Amino acid sequence: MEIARALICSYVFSWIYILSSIPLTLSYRTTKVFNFAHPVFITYGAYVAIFLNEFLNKNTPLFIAALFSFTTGGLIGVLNYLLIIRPLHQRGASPNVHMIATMGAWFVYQYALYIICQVLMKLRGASFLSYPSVEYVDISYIQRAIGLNTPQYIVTSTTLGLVVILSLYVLLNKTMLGFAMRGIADNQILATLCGIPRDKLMALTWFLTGGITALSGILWVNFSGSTTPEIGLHVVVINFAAAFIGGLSSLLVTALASAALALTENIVFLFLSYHLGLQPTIRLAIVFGVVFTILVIRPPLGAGGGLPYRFRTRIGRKVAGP
Amino acid sequence: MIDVLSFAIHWLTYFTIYAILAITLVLEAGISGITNFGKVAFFGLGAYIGAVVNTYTLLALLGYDVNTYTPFTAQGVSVLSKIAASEPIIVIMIFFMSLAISFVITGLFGRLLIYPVIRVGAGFVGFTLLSVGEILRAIYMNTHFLGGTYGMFGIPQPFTWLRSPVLSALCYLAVTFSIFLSAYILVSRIHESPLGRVLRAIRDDDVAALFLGKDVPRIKSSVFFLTSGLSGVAGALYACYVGSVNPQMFVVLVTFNVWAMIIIGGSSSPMGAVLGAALLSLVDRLLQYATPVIGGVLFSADYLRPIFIGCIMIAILVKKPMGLLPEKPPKITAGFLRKALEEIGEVNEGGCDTCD
Repeated sequence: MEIARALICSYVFSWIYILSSIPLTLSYRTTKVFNFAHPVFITYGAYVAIFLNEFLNKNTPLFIAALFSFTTGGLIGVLNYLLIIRPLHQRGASPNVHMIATMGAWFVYQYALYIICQVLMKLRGASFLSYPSVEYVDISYIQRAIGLNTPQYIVTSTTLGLVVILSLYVLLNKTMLGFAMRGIADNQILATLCGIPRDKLMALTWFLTGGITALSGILWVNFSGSTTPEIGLHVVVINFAAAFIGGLSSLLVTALASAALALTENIVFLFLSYHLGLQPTIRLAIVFGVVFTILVIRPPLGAGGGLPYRFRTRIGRKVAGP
Repeated sequence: MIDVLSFAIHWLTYFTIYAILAITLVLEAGISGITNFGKVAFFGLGAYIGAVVNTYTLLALLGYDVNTYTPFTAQGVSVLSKIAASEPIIVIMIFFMSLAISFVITGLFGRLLIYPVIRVGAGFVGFTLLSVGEILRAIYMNTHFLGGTYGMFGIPQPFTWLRSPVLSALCYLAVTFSIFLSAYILVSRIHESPLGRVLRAIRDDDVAALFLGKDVPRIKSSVFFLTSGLSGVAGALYACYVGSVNPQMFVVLVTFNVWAMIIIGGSSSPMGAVLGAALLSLVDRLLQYATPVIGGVLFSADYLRPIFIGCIMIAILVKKPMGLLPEKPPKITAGFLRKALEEIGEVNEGGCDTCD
């Protein structure tokens, strides 16, 4: 029974992590910016669903929640690009400066959300700092209509996950827009010389990144019994780990890594909590253990601007040779 | 009404502790190019080590049963406060011992951690170190010995026995100031030394430095040992000053504050870090007094501070990326330049026009 529950958790978390990890890799490989404001998209996506749920008297359809969350996340992404990333890029700032600036943006958004939650709490009398799960009425209606008794979060995560992943696949692989985005990712200067509007495509990439990541937030509020403004931090650690395993370039490997991490996190936690009585807060340590092991055994050398260590040994051998 | 003397001592103590963190971050990020987004991990680890040494060791040394008198129970805290007031020599000895232990353990932890992390890019380093901070927090929460979620209390301030609170605080300030000054001199000397030039070369292009024969991983690891150790000392100083530690004190926001300090002051300049730490710690302390006045109607004014600092940080990065005190170009004397030119055969008998 416990194993079945852990497997269900793994399944739902897989979709949450996939929907938030893939945009992280997509944004890095296209824009070359390691975005530390990524948790903001998840948190705001979740909170848009929560606010809608409160203002629609707990009659929120998934479609409406997804639309609003996607738009909010997307607009935050574009805003970050226009106000922070593009000016820094124009000044020739280093990737580290971009990273630090996005970290600053993370805290601005994070604490702005706290203020929004507190103001709404005073006005509506509901606690937004720890909100229970949100049920989507349209999914409930469909489930009742076809007599499907599975928990709603399985239906929601599967439906939304598949729709988003297939749409993204079609966009990137079957449309001119996707080809242009990949062109920018491969070589920005060459792509610009070929007439691809770099700025517009960058803005579009950030819109998609923010929007898709925000959708993972609406899955989170459907599944989790308690949503707080800190959820982004928990999810983003796994996102970074998955993106890192995918070498910040492969969307497929990132998706597979997200699923593998979700499974590892839940199964290992079940084992540890059963035998050692550990609390759920230790989950992050499990994920980190996996990442750290990979770092030691098989680091993705050179990924994300890393030092290509092995070259040193080869050169040393050549110099020491004949 | 604000008591000016108490406020000044309080602010200066916070400033010196945060300045140690800011100076070490300048050495890591500004000079060596290690994007440490996990500053709080080392600060927190040092604080917990300081707390454990100053409570459990003290109790054990004086013959108390540490299973009964724990620093998270009323009787343990009561006994610790009595010891702090009556056993000055032991308390001071244990305090300095805790600083040394914090330095060694956090330094070694940093060195062990950086070994695998350093082989990947800056983004990964940042994320991995950030995660370490969160994981350590999870471990503190799950460790009964460390007080779990509630943390540890009754950590003795080494000068409590002086009776006068102002004098006691002044003595503690003298200790924190001495350590801050030592850290500042050390980092400034490193910054201006040949090692500093190597570090800046690594920061600007680690691959080029590697190909020029510099042992980049070893140099970075050594720097990280030093900076992590000093962050641990800052943590131990903080724990003894505040008198308690709990996992909520060591959140990512602490790292963000230290980053904001060095960005506002100047991320590659030790003096800039000091200036940033002074400004932000002053704003922080003033807001502590101002919060009850300006907040509480619709939302807590505490939330405004990170927003304000975040906006300033982004604005400075976009408009004045080098901060208020930018890094100065390295000092090159005429003699040094002449020697360098001689080495590459540029100086002929007529002398060198560019030397003076």
